[in-house]
Amino acid sequence: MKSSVFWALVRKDIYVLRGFMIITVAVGLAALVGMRFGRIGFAIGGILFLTANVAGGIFIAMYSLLTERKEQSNLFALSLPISGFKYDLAKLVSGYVGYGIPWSVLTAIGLAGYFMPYAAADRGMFVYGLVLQLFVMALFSFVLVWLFVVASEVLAGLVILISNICFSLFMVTLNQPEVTRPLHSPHIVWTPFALWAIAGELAVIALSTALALFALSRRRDHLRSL
Amino acid sequence: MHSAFVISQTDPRPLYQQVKDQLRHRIAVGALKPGDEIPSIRQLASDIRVSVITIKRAYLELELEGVIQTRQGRGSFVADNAQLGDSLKEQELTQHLRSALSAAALLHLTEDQLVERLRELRREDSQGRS
Amino acid sequence: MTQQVSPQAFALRGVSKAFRYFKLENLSLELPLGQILGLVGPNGAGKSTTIRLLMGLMTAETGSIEVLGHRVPEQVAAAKAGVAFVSDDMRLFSGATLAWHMRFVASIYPEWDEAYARTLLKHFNLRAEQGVKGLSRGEHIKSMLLLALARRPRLLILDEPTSGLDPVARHELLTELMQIVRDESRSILFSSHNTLDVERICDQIAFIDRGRLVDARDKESFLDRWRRISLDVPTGVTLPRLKDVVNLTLGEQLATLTTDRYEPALDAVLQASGARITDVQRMSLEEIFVASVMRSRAEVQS
Repeated sequence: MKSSVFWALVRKDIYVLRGFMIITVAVGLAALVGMRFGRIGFAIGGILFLTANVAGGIFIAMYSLLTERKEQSNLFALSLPISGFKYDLAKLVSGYVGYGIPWSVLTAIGLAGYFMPYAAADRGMFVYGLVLQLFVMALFSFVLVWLFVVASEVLAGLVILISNICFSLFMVTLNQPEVTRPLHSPHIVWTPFALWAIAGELAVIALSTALALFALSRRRDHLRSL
Repeated sequence: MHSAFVISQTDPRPLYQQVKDQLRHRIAVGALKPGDEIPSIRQLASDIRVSVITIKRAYLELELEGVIQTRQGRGSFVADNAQLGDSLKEQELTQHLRSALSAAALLHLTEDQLVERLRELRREDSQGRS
Repeated sequence: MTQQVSPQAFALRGVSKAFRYFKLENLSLELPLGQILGLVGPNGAGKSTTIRLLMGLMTAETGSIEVLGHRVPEQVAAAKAGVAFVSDDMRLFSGATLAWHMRFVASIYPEWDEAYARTLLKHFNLRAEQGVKGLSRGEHIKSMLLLALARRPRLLILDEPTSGLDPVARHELLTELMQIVRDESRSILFSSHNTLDVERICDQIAFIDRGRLVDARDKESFLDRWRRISLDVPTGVTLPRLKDVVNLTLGEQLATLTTDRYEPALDAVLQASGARITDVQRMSLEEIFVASVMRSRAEVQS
């Protein structure tokens, strides 16, 4: 019975997030289509695609965690036959699933684009796309975990700000000629930069999640933040 | 029966006393006869919205006073004592007379004045009837 | 693993928890099955903290907590399976309807009674299809009470349930609460400022103030032990020094004495000193509560 409360809460959260999930996918897909229309289309589409991915993640993380605490419906959820830890875990899972689904759809379709005839000459940029998408997921991981911790909306804003700065820095780094030149090839090239970046991103995701689970398991008060 | 119970928190008598008095009154007027079943403690508590502990106390005291009997596993009943009705009416009369005495004391009436007042009321009553 | 079956609805033993500006100290409180406990205390006294500790929403620093025979927080999920909790600062999920919540709760608790839920909708004057966002404060609380009552819980914990309710709704709630007492295995913890309701329906009463349990006993004992005695004290008469006097107010030839251990023998002692008793009054639960808290605070300071 306990596990069914857990999944009932996750299902409820996904249902609540469905609007964000749909909009994220819709905007992302529209952006991918727009990228086919000339240099300006490519630029705008590219920015829009990134925005959909990053902003979608931030909205989903914030909505998932903060509204329930703010609305005080967390007390109702916590009155159900579920431990405080499982409740927090359900929030974490529904955050990952709620973002994971649109992210997977956009990543799959976006990366598949590199295997289309029109992208044959630039197939190597598949690696660029992968590094970028995994960075966005790592960023989401970071934001989700820290939103568990912060108490006020001011601090939440700070977390968002830091993540935006990180994202900008990353984009600058990723777009350095030394990084992108090897990737403009008809073959997939796993450059050292790409491999390190992917390893780092996966590490951030794993570490953030592990840290979150550790911190949540030691929580003594499930009504406030950590 | 329980819908007619009137329990008031503005009544100076404690709740358990009100429950006792109302049960006794029903027995005195014959609404409850010796051997009749009365509601279980929890049933009455639920019906008149008064705590179980209060009803328990009322029933316990009534049992010690010989007004009701509780048979284990069978419920609570009005005691079989045939003279109960009369003795309860006697007790009620005593209570009313005591109240009259204290009211008279507050008005600084003498015993004679009180008795005179009683006679007046009896005359008024019998005139009203004819 | 066999469960130690406890005959109590809950038991807190030696529980403490410290916050920045408040400390709950060495609290011990129990409720036998089949009874209603009224928890009374000023704002900030620790009522909600105690309830949250019972529900496993917080972890105590010392002591042990058992709810329906399960240790909290170790087996909190098993404990909560039998507990329904409604608090005045609780809210339902704003994006859904009451009907959604009813289905949600019914899917989690096998004891859900749909027929009873429908009856409660009528009694509480609620519409199942209404969205939570559109509910007034009173309707919101009544909705949460409906969800709690229709589950037929073994332990019902209410934290200020009547604070947003109009008199009619309060009457309905008390009627439904008193339906629960028909079952001697079901219990209620009722935390409220409404001492009138507590005085009427509770079997046990506990006073809490500034993180400490001031007094706890059955209701009839409380009401039996406390008296306010009005005295005429002619000049030249001094009242004897008595123990168990909570408060003594002296005026011109008049005195009011409050005691928490009244016995008829006390009357004789007072009369013997030359004072004349003009009135011996029972005290309402509210008056007893205020007097207890005042005394407790004075004791702590000295």
